[in-house]
Amino acid sequence: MNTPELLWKYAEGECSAREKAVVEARLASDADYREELDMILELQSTLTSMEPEQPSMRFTQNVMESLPKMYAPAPVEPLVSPVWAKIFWAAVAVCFAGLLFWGKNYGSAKPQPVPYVDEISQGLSSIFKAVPGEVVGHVVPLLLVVATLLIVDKMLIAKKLNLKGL
Amino acid sequence: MDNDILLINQTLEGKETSFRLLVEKYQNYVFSVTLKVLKNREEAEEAAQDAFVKAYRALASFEQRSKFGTWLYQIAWRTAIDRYRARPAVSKSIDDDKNFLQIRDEEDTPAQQMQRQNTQKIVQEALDRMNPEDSALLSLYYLQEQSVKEISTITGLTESNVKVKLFRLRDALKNQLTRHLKNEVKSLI
Repeated sequence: MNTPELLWKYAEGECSAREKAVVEARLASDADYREELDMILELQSTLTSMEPEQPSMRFTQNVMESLPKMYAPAPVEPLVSPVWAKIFWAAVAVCFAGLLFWGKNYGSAKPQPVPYVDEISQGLSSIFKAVPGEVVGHVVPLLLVVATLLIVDKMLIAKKLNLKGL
Repeated sequence: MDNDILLINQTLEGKETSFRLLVEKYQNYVFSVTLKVLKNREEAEEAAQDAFVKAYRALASFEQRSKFGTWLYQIAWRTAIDRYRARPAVSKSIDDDKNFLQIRDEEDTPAQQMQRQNTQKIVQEALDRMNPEDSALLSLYYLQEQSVKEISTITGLTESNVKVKLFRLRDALKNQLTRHLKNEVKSLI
């Protein structure tokens, strides 16, 4: 490595221990060499103290205005489509009504007969009587779990829309 | 996750305000690169703007193999060099702005300040006379604090070529500075 290159390396603190010893030995005995190092350090100091230039105040705005419309926000959709959610809630409503009327017909107190309502009640309870008890025991918790998941899905969608400011 | 990467992902999801933050973060550095090459503020600002728009268009293809800053400077460098090469040969004028080389204020004695200003003036004049690509190379190394490897990515030069160029440029600057100061001493005597 030639002498000026070694001196630059020394000024940047990149010399190995051996190179450093060589440079320092010469610096101790050679005034011109010392002067050259001073000049390098002065130049380094000037160059490293440069600050970045600033564009005009409107620069950011100009850039933002010239951007093409390329990246559209991702559509926010629920995991379960609204149609299936409606079907599910209708099924829950039917099951709930069925269970209610089943309980009414098999309750301990004898209620006053109400026209039409009793007919519907009889119809629904005959359907539910056909369903074995253990099936109901499985279906009801399952419906509860699905209902909870649908509610959570709806809440997350609402939160995401809120975050996007839509 | 790196903040730049987060902002890039948000931009790709359609959040334009995230790209604004990236512009605000890098605009001075990008502008400094284009200004060093073009040496004209108006033209450099157009080139810097152009570089940001190009970066925005290509954002989805940014593969994170380098830092976002390095990738952006690469676009800025190419944009400025292309403009410089497309210029008519006569219009290579140096910008009139006297503050082309902005230096941080440091607490020096009046004598040190005078000495510093003198050095700055000499360095500035030498940088102005330099080939624009060389001047921008020094800017990337000292101002943007890019490593030799990163400068190699930005400019397309090999790492050894960057090292050699940086050494020669700095040594040439040092020699000019030495000559100038010696002449000053002689004139005083």
